[in-house]
Amino acid sequence: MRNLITLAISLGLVTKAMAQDHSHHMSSPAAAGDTAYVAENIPLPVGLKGEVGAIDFLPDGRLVATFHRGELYFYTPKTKEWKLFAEGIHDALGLMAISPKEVLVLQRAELTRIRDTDGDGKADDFSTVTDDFGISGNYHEFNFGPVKDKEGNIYIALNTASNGAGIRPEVRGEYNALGRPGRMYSCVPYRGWVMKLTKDGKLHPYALGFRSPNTLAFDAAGRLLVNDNQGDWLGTSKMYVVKPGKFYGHPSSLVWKKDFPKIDPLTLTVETLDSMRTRESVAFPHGYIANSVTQPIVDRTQGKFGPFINQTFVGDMDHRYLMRVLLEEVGGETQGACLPVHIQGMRVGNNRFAFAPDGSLWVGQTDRGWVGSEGIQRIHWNGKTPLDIMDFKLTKTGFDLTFTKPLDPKIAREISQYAVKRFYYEYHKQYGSKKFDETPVAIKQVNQSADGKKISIELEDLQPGFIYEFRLGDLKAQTGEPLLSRWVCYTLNHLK
Amino acid sequence: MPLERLKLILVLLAMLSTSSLTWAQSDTTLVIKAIAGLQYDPPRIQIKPNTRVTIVLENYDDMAHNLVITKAGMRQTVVEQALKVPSEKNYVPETPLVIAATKIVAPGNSEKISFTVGEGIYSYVCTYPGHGFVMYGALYAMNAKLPPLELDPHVAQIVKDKVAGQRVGPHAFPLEYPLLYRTWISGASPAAIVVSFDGNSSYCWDAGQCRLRYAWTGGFVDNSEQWYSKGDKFTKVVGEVYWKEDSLNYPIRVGTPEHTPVVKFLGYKLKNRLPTFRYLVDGIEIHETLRTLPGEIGIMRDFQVVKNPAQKKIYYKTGTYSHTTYQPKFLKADPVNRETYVMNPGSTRFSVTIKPNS
Repeated sequence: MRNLITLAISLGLVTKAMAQDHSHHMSSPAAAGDTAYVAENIPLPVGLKGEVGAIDFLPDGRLVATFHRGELYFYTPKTKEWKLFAEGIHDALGLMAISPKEVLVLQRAELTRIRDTDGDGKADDFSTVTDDFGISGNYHEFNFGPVKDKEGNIYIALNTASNGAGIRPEVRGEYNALGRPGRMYSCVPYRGWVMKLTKDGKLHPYALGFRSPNTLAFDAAGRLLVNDNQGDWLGTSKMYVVKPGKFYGHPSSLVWKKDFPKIDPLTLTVETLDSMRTRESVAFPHGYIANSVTQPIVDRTQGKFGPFINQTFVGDMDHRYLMRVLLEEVGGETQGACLPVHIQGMRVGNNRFAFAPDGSLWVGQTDRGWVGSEGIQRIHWNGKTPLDIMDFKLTKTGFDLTFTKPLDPKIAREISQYAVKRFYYEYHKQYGSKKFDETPVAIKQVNQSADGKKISIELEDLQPGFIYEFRLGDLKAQTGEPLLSRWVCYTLNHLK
Repeated sequence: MPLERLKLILVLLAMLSTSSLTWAQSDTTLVIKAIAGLQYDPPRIQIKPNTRVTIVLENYDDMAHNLVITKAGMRQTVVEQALKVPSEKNYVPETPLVIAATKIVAPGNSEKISFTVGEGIYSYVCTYPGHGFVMYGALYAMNAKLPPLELDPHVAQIVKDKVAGQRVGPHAFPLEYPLLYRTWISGASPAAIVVSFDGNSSYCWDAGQCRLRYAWTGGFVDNSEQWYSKGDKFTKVVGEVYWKEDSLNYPIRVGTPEHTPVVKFLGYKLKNRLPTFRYLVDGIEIHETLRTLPGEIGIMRDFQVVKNPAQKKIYYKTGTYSHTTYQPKFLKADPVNRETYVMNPGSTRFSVTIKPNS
């Protein structure tokens, strides 16, 4: 039945994309039938509720996974054996596998170091690493992370609460009524913040203005990436590059900022809030591209997972594909593009990712009362580089698209193979946003580089503050191989 | 929404869920709730044939939903057609297969529709993209006896799974005691720990406040609602609570019995599955192990004072919960303060046994 649901939902999404498509170019985000990346299902222990909380790998190749009912298992891919390591954990949505005897787990109430101290293969010691943040008991106060920086500091992100439910008679941490109004709210300390745990065990507020920051990663360039979910104040799902002290736009968390006046942040005008916020690096257009973005994960496999070395992949709850982001520094800030990565056989509910030592990418899936699925899948690359977009960069007059292989010039140089439009999402209190100023952008010129891999597109008009959406046609490699990813969206905050 | 209202809703939901079908008259108004987990509550309804029906759709979820009435056999067709319909038309296809439909109802809102049914099985389904394949219910306009809920082909699988899930164990392994869960439960902070020694004698220890909150007998907990869907509901105590700590009493006092100490939770260690909690009370490290009393109702709290460098005096202040006997060990009654004991000088441990008066 579950497979049927997944199939049905994905069918629905494809049909939806077709209905909304503005051009004749494509009916799905990627060419169907390709097998560059294939997902296989990993069987779970019989009787285990397969709502995955988090996954990670031990250096010895064993998978570590937490599940919704408090279980923490080790899985040996070679022997397909599951072994229970710990029980009783509350909703662990993040973990860091340290050794076969030690796992860091972020659960509802705390970051916990779970250890097997007597060597019997089962955890017997649960030490609180930090619990220095509030919980109102609202179901939406999820905790995300931990991720570690080069210096060994640990970062976690704290979800705001939802007015889909109230708070408990007893809360942990100071209650602040000024943070209580709003659709998503922050009435206990540091909800809507990214926190930094220094080596001395102290938890420091680091950056704020997040709604549902699921979840964090350091990318290959050392940037701290945080994905936030569409909703109030987020017209669409976003990826932020997070820097200390910065405010990213969801207002409720401002009540915990040291120098912030004692007011309800929602009484500030949108213009004021807008002037305070740092914009996203990537916007993931809602509905047909992403609905609920999840974990960013960097391909550090040095080619074992295909040609996209050191690029960042991103998941989504509602879609059966992965995405990649291609970031660049423009005007001193990070901005860039997102595009799909077609995965044969992938389910929905793709919330958690971890690379195995063999270079395969494992996916933990969940539904939690939203659209999703349950279980674990393993994605492997078939060893053949597909024709796909390798890089996407802003130029002074348009964009440079670099492909993995030389393109057939007869097709690639035709302007009709490219459709470009632009639009923006409003920053406002309402839930989500429609597209504003949705306008086709005329292409002046298309040029191909001497090696055939780079297509430079010159546009009639290039303006900051817009998402530029590209739909690509039937581009082919010189060998005749079709292009895999057919759309790419660039968030243009700054011109070059 | 205000908590009182939430409680009322929870009670109403519980009432509705316990009866698997609802009877109605030939001219009837039904309330159908869109609830978390892509579901309608109730999951099916029986009415008399040839009825004028008014349905009020109330959206208690945090996503938008609609409600579309079709003949049961046409549900899937309508859902597929709806995928091509834009949001401005509420994802409702223009087809005679649709008998009635609400608009898209935002979270917290409601909408009413009226229509007439003949005799037969109808579906109510949410045609919001992605929802229709899982979110639907059955409207029986007939007098015949209905099949059991979990075998009803017109009831959503997600509802049937829930019913089936209540009949098997919660994990892939049999329960072993002592058993511990960190969870959300009433009468404690959201950092609660519940432990059962044997499936019968159980307690709730609060890691947010580093104190025992209450103890009960006759069972352990029912986690099913806390685990279900988004986790909005509490874990429930199974059995009878025989002792509760005073809401304002912190039992361990340092230096003087008047001062309420600052506490910090450090974690716990399991020995043969039995936990020992570690915490700081005004900087003094305490290890607490709780044990059940063989053959009788009650609990023994065993405290180990691990670090007390300044050799501060340690007190144990009992609460005023009635019908309870406290039996101290390595503690003397404090001559000055009522309900207060002081730890024997030179001792590094003390214990308190809590028993309900028979």
